[in-house]
Amino acid sequence: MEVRKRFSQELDDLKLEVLRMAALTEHALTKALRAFFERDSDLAEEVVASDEEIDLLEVDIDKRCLRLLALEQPMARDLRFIIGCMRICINLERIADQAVNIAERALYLNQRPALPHQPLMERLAATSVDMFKQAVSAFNIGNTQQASKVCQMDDAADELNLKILRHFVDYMVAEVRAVERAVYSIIVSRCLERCGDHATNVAEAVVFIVEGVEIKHHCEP
Amino acid sequence: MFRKLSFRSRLLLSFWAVLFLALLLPSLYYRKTLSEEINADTRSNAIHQLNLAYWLLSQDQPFQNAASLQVWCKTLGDHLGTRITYVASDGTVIADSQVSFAQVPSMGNHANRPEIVQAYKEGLGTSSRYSITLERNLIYAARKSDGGGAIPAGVIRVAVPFLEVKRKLDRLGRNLILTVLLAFGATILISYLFARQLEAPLRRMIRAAEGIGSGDYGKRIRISPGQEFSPLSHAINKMAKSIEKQIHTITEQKQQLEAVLNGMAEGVMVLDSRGRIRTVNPALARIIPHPPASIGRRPLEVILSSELQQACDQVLAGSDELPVQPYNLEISLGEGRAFDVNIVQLRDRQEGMGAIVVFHDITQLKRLEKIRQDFVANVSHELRTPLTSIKGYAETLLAGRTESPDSTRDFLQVILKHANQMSKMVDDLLQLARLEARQQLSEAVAVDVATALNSAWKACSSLAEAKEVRLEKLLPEDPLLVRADAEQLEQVFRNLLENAVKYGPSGGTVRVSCNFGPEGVVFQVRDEGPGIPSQAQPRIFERFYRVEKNRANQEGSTGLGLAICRHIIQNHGGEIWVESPPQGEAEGSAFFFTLPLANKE
Repeated sequence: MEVRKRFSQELDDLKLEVLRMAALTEHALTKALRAFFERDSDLAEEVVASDEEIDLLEVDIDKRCLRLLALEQPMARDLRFIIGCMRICINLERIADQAVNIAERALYLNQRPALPHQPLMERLAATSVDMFKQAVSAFNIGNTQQASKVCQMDDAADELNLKILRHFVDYMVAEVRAVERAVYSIIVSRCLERCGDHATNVAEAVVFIVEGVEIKHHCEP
Repeated sequence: MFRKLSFRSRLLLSFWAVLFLALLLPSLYYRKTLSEEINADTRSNAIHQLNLAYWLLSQDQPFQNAASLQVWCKTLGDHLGTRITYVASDGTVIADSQVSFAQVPSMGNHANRPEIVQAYKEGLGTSSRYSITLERNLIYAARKSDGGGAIPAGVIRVAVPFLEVKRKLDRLGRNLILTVLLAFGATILISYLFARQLEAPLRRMIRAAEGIGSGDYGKRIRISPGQEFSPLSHAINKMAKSIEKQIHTITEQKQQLEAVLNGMAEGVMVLDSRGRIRTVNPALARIIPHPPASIGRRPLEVILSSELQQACDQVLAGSDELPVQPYNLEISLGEGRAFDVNIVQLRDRQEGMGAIVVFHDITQLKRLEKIRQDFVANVSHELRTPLTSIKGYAETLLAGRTESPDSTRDFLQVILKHANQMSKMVDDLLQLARLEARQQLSEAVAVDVATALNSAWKACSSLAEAKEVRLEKLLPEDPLLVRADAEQLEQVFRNLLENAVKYGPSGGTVRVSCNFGPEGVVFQVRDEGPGIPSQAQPRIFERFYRVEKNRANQEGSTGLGLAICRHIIQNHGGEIWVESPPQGEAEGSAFFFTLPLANKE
């Protein structure tokens, strides 16, 4: 009984650590986006600096999971939970890396004259951040419906990414001087799209934890 | 085991025990004395008969032989209804009234029968015993006899059957038992009724006590089942009263506390010793969607902020000895919301350390702070730029380095342009100050919107012609009358149209349309420009706020146009806002403002 109690406490702590990592990642992503949209280079520097903490946390969570798997030999849902947390933290780490990418592009772009206002980019950013938040919330409360919704939102993100690409290609044809800036903006758009993909992976892991089924690549359990 | 029984059963059982003893003991005693009396009576009766037989024997003597004695015995025995035996001194039976003469010699030796032994010793002997000969209980009485004639000296014995006595005794005993049973039954009934009567008030008392126990603290015990119980009922009443008072106090305090918590603008979260949320207040709904659902979870599971969780962990890990230090941190959540969080240790003797987390919403404060900072920076920038130009050109002119009168003229033109710009800015600032001071509209009359729009378009026609921008009016055919100051309405249109032309593409269209809402007319001025970034949208109505900071000073723009529009519309009791991109569009922006309709009188 005592062993069982300690184990469930360990699982609880694991969940909290994953949430902590998610909080830091969200913080990094929103900061990177603000750095990009509001042309704030200080914020971008902060994002680049804060990535190490997230990396360390990922390693720590990975160790935790391995230890639990080895020592407790969990079954059924507990096993899925630990495996799911491992998958989630890999994706969180990648999202944080994308945030760093965005911040680095922002650092470059902020030194150049501003490109015209890009409402599509704002929409893509809002969609990606929303997907991320929903995926984390789905993990937090174990809500598979919310997780499925994240998977469906990914299509919108992909579509926006394509639109942005087309928009910038047109723009580059018209304004040769802005090619470099436009390419960097396309990279940012690509990063955001990748964030959405990772958020989808997080959501898939949530469905895996709760229902024990794989919904990879097709959004349906 | 007795203790396990109910009070009533115990009472009944004791009643019954007492009754049982009270009825049984006297009857047993009575039965015993009676049987003794009857025995004694029978015995004396036997002795009487013996004496009579003895006297008759001595009268009828002498007998010729044993047979005549046998006849005498039989006759007398039949008359007296008893058995008469004559036993010789050596123990042989000579005659017996119940046995035929022929069988007499076969009878056993009677020498050691107790009554005969006693008779030899004391002259008279009695005994009660079962006779094998007659197969019944008998009382024997024997007396020495000297004999005479053919009869040897011996003992004459009379046996009275005990049967009679026993039957009498049995009948008496049966009656007695019946009486006892009857009395027992009657008393059981009465005692049962008594017990029940005693129990009823006790039951009421129990009910009252139960009522108090289950929360009806107003209940009191009014009737006491007996004097012994009155201290108990007093004690229960006193307890109920004190509980009622304390509950009242606690409820009042709780209500006060709840009212304070619910009335607070700050979100409050109470954590228990394990760091889980124990209580939340409704104001927390501004931070988390459904506060009550967060109970039992940890802060990080509810508010995705690792700093908050870390701070809570630190406060909860604080030792008991250290003075309670409020922990202060600032967290920022999505959409630019910022909270100042205070965490205070909470000492709970029963459950160990807890914490109270208070969230002050400082979003507005931060926003105002930012506006103020930006205002100072922007205003100095706006004033300095033209001043620098004026100063530079004036210095060049003074230094006399101009080569031709033409360039001198150009320089002076630039100076004039910047001076005009500054004067326009000062005019706008003054107008803003006036609008701010007045707050309310003094001269609101019915104004035809079309007239105001036309003259506004005329004012910015030069710019529009240069960029080949068209105006598209989508207003109703009938004259549309709104309650407004004509001059100010024209200015609102002029500022919005100017912006639309300025930021829109060359050869584009500016559309003005209107809708009728519950609060009057909603006007829309839509352009085909690049739109306004969403984070800048709430701020464009601020004074001197510019979307693109790095962009060179716009020709003829003071950065005050939208601020003036907002003040005018607010003074008219309307609202102004922007949508960019407008609903259902990919690009452009639309400015909306509302105005009250004029009553058509």
